[in-house]
Amino acid sequence: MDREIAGIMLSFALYLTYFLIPLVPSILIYKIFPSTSVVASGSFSGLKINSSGAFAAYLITLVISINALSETEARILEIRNPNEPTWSIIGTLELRDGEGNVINNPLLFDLLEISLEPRVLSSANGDIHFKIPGSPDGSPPKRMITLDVKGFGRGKINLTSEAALTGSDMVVNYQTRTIEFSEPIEITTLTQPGQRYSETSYMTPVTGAGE
Amino acid sequence: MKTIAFTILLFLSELALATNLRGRVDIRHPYTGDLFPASGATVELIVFTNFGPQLVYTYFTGSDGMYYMPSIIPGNYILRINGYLDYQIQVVNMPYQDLQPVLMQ
Repeated sequence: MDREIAGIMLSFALYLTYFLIPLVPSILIYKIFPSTSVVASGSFSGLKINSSGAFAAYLITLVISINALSETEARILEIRNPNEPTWSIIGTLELRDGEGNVINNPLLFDLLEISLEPRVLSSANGDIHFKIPGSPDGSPPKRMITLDVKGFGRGKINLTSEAALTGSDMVVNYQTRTIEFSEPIEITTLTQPGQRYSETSYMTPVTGAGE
Repeated sequence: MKTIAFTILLFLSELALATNLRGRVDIRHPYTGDLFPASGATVELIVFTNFGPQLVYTYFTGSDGMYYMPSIIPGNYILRINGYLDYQIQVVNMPYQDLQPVLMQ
């Protein structure tokens, strides 16, 4: 049996487990202690819950088991897709001019493009949070990530070596498969201060020309 | 002899019907208002034909914000910056043509 089929069967078994296992304590409560009152009330997933008896016991066990089984679900997903475990890259970008001054212009983040070598499509805004395929052995992806703000400048995230992953601004969590940056990732303009231009007359853009 | 001379002249005139375009893309510093060359801007030259808009040339500006488009046939074109800023330009029949700079908003 290949991994994909095994993964699907395990997923199916897991979802059955989600609903069947909580039945055991509720039946036991119903049979052994018929007079014991179990009450569950409150809100769950946006729904108002107010139940009692065996169904309340079922509900409580169901809620507890969902948390416990979520970790198992992640492992099953890994079995189904072993070659592409994903890692989350989380961080904040900081734009700087040629003299090192921070530029706070959120409009420039609209021009941001993130690319990987080898290329994998992804997108982000000022606060970046994206997933990239990891190595088959489960270690972090060996990639160079380029953050390109078109017309402004570029920044890079170097994950190509073990040494790069031990950087002081980078927290690598192997459990959650997350690489989080404690310091902003700098995007510096490619323009040097000496390249400034004097005010001149510019072409006037037209609207609807490309329609 | 006259025919050969005419053919050569015709050939040379055809060669002259291509212009090397040059221009610059600027960007304004959001705080100081200083003007900088826009590096990494996408500059596309588009011509409108009976079949709709056709992309003629694409250039990515370097750190100097300059773009160069060689051997462009004279005519009317749209210069598109970063896929959203359109400028109507006329390419004239001369060896080199400098276009007015464009400012990225």
